[in-house]
Amino acid sequence: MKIEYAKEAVKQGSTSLGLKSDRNVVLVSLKKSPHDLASHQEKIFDIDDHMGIAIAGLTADARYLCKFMRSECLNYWYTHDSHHPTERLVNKIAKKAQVKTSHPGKRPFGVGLLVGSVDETGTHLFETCPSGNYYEYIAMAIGARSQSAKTYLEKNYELFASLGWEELAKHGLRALKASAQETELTEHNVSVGFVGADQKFRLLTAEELRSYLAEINDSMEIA
Amino acid sequence: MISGQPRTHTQVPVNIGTSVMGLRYKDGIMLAADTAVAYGSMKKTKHAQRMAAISSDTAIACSGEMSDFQELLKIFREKHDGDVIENDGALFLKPTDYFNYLSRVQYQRRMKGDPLWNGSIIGGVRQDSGDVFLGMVDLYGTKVEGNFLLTGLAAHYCQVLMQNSWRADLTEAEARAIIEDCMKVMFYRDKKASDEIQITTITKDQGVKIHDPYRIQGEWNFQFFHDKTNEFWRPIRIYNN
Amino acid sequence: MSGTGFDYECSSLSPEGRIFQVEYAEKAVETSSTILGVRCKNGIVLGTEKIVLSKMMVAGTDKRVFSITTTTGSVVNGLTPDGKSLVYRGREEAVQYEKMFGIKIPIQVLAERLAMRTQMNTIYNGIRPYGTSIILAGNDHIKGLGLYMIEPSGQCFEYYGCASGRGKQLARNEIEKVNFREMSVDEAIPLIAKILLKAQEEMKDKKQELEISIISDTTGYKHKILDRVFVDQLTLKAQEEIENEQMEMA
Repeated sequence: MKIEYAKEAVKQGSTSLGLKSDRNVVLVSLKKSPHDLASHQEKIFDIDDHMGIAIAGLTADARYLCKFMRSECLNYWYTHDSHHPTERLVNKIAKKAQVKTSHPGKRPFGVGLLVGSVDETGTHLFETCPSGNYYEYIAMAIGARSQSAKTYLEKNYELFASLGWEELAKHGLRALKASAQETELTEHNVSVGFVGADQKFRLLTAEELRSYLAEINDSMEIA
Repeated sequence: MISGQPRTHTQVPVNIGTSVMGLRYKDGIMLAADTAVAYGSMKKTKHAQRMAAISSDTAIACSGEMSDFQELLKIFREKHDGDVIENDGALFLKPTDYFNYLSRVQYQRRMKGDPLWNGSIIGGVRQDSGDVFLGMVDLYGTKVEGNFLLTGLAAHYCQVLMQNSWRADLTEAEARAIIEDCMKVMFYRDKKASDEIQITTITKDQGVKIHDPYRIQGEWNFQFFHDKTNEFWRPIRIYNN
Repeated sequence: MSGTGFDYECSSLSPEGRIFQVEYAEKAVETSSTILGVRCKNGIVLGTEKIVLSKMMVAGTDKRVFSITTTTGSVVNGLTPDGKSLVYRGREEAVQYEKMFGIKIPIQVLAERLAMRTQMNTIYNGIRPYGTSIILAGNDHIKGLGLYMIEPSGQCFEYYGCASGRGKQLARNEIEKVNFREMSVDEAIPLIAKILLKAQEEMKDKKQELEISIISDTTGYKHKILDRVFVDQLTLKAQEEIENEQMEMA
């Protein structure tokens, strides 16, 4: 039962989505701000050079998992001198999440993660759930009103395989726009993170975002 | 434990394998060791294997304490099996991962003051990319990478021999000849060495291949040995006291 | 089924002598994927089916077949995270046993230890039973091949063929019809694929995926999870065959 509530927390969180091609993974998030005078809550975190996460749900839980992932990656780097394999890290999170569903006095994580990463076996996009399940996707959206974004992605995901990160980011922003409805996308309330086979994980700067968003808005209006 | 003294761990190795060698050649990596294990000055066994495959593309050869070598192999096997049963798309542990892991283990043990008393050479050729790796870790956890590596006494006796004869384009036969040369020198000079040697090759096509041990031919037919070892006739006199 | 207060924790029995929490866990298993395992002449085959939740999923994700050691395989259903937790437990037990006794853990010992663990979860306050059935298969040098199934209640038996999940009844009947014990693993695999597909007949419009793994003399008694591409081809072929059979029937 408490798992259901935790899943609800994920659905309440603002939209995050991810999509991948053969060489790149892009994460896109819509940020919320609790108050006009407050800054927007960060939604995308970098874990390591090869990995980043986008979240939907309780940010506090996400930060805890983020810290855990960062230290696991660092430990792996220290002992093996190489990047942490993605699925193994996702597995570790799932294991943590499962424990929280079955022990008394513990509550499940109220957060869903989209893990975007590149490793020896190529690009990966994983979704983790509070229940301890995880799935791998080509493209996925989570959080509030993610259904519209999902619909956009489902229409287009077959095209993604050969795209570069710029094109992926545009698709991501269009999908996000579908979910955002009346909210206007600006460089303040959107963040985009990406990682590639020869590109370390990083977030787009405000200027880059601005130009992408302008392009998206133009093309959408014409359509 | 003697009271009043600090707690001590292994400070002297007991069952010792002597020097191991490793070198790069045209097709990959060649590791070599003799098969003797010494207990003090006594050869405890002359037919021990001192090298092993730790994965399909990585092998290790070990000098020093043989029980610690067995411990290392156990650690590696557990590591490798863990990698296999995870079943998430690939075997992620590459020669460099094992190498780094070994150095971490050695360093941790050394900082505990209870080192695994080994000098190890790890060699590997990745089957996907063909990357060749050769590295050495000592009992302190120091990492050394190179085109040819020697541990133990061989690092003193054979360094120059290797330096002069090593080339990047050595064929397998040439590499083997160099190894045999070095092993011969070690057999003459090192009381813990034997003339039965074993070679492991790691290549992209064949992976790890541990060859059967064989004996190298030493040359003992010198006048020195034929002459009586009578004090009077002996040309060189050694005084120990 | 209503517990009227006797179903919140599993440390109390109802007046009829039932433990509702365990029954709920069994319910979770009964409505989930079919899993099955069969002993063959030269090995064991494990298999499961699942519905692919989204078309954007990468093929083969949401795994239910796991290795516990290199020579022990398992397949889980129900709440897969619970199943995985049990698998991790099994891995720990196996490593610990081997360190202690210097031989690989006999499959019977492993099964009994995991069953014990499962049973523990049904008697304490606060913790809930595992909502999963797990089938274990392995080969050891004491009893040879062994196939075990553990249920949420902690029940554990050795089988020649077993099944659990929504297609349990159908799969059991099919397994009983075919004489798998006289069959080699390679011959059995296509039949298993067919049984698994038949067992989820009502869901057949949705995209489905099979997972099959084997332990046999051809794999050196190592647990081998069959290649995705191979299994997908197998699935297509089995689907065709089932359709043909139905055409003939009609």
